Amino acid sequence: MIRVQNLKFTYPEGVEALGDISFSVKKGESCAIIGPSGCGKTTLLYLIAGLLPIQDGVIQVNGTTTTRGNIPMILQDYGLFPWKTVWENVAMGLILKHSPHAEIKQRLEPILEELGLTPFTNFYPSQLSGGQRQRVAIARVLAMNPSLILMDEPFSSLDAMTREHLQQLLANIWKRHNITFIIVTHSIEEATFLGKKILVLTQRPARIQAEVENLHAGDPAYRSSKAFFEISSRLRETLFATQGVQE
Amino acid sequence: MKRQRYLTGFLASLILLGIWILMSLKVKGGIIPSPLDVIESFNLGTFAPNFLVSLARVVISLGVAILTAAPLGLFLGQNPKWDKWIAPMIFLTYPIPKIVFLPIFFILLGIGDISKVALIALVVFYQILVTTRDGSRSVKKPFIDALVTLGGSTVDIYRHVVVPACLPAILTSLRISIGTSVAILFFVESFATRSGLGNLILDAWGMADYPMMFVGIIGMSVLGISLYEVVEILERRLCKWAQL
Ligand SMILES: Nc1ncnc2c1ncn2[C@@H]1O[C@H](COP(=O)(O)OP(=O)(O)OP(=O)(O)O)[C@@H](O)[C@H]1O
Ligand SMILES: [Mg+2]
Repeated sequence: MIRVQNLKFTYPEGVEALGDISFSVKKGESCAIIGPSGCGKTTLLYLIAGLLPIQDGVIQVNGTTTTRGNIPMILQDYGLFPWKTVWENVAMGLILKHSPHAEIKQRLEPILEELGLTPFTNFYPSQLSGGQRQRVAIARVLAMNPSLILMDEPFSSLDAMTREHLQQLLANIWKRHNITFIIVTHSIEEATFLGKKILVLTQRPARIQAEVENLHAGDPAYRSSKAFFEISSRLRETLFATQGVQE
Repeated sequence: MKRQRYLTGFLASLILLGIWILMSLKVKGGIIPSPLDVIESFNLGTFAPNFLVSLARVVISLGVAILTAAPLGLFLGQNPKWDKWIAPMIFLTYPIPKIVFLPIFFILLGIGDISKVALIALVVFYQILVTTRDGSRSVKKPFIDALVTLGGSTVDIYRHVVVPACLPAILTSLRISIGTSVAILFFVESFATRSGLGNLILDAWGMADYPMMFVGIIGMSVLGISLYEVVEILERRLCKWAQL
C-alpha cells in the first residue's frame, strides 16, 4: 500500500529533519509513529501528503508516487475552518471536487450519523467541544472515501476519557472501512492501542529506531491485557533510549 | 442584551439632545440653533438631492477603494515576493496627507465628480490595503495546508481560506473608512460644486443661515451612521462565525 524508502529531508533553512527513513504499511493496516518532540514526525507526514517536495528517497502509495491533494490528513492544529459550519467543513473535500449537492448529502449523512455529529451540522467549530471537533476532522477525511488517512497527533489536546473514546471510535472505523491509517502520536498508550505496526523514531534527524509488530491493536479488550503493558513498556524503554539523558 | 442596547442608545440620544438645547440657549449670536429651528428650516426638496449626491459620492468612492485595495491586499499578504517591493512604497507614501493632491486631481481629472470620488477613494484605499494585507499575512499556514490536502487549488485557497479569514478585517477597515470618507467628502465638496451636503453647509454658513447649516451637519451624520449600520449588517451576515 505505502512504501517509503531512504527518505531524507532538510529544510531550506538548513534544519535536517529526516535522516534516512524506510518502512512500509500494508493495505488496511494501521501504523503508529512515535518519537521525541521535534524529531521530524510532522515533516514525514507532510512529505507523504505531498505538502513538501521530496528531495531524496521514494514514497509510493499503491505503486505510484504521491501527488498533493489526494491523501487527506488530519493536521496537528488548526484543522477545521472556523468560518465554516460542521456541514461545510465535512463537505469541503467534495465541494472542491464539484460533486453535485445531492451526492454530497448522500455521502455526508451516514458519516455524520456514525460519528454522532448529526445534531451539530449547523454549528461552527468554536461552538463544539474538543472531542466533537476532532470527530468533525475525522468525518471530513472519511467523506473523501480515502484508502489512506494521515493523522498528526489528532487527540493530543483532549482529556483522557474523550481520548480513549475516540481511539476506540477510530479503531472501529479502521476495521469497518478497511482504511490504511498512519497516526503520529506522543502517547505511548495511544501508539500501542492504535498501531498494528509501531515505528519509534530517533532524535532529529529522524531515523527508525525500532519497528514493533502489535497484533491486537484496536481490540476493545486489548487495553487491559498483559500484552498491552508489555508492548507499552518496550516502547517506553526504546523511546527513553533514543532520548538519552536529555529529559 | 439587544433590548439593553436600544435602551442605552435611547438614553444617550436624550442626553445629547439635552446638551444641544443647553448650548443653543447659552451660545450667543444664534450660531447654535435650537432643534426646533433646525426642524423648521428642514426642507425635503433642497435636502434630498444634496443628500443623495453626497451619498453617491461616498458609496462610489468606498466601492472603488474596496474593490481595488482588498484584492491587492489579499494577494500581497499571500505573496511575500511581491510584498517585498510594494511594502516600502506603501510605507513611504502612507503618511502623505492625500488631500494635498486635490489640485492635481482637479487638473488631471477635471473639476467634476470624478476627481472628488478619486480623492476620497485614494485616501481610504490605503487604509483598506494595509489592514487587508496584514490580515492576509496572518492567515495560519495549516489552514491552507488543510485545504490543499482536501484537493484545493490556488483559487480555492483564496475562496475558502484567505477571503473568509480576512473578511472581518476587511469590514473593520471599511467601517473605519466611512468616517474618513465623510470627512474628506466635506473637504472636496467645498470646492467647485453646487451640490452635496458639504456645499449646503458652506452656503448656509456664507448666508449666516445657521439652522440650515445644522440641517447639513445632521445630514452628514445621518449619512455616516447609515453606512456604518450597513457594514454592521454585512458583518452580522457574513462573519457570523467571528462573533460567537
Ligand atoms: N517550515 C520549517 N522550516 C524550517 N524548519 C522547520 C520547519 N518546520 C519544522 N522545522 C524543523 O524541523 C524539525 C522537525 O519538525 P517537525 O514539525 O517535523 O517535528 P515533530 O516531530 O512533528 O515535532 P512535534 O512533536 O513537536 O510535533 C524541527 O526541528 C523543526 O524546528
Ligand atoms: Mg508535529
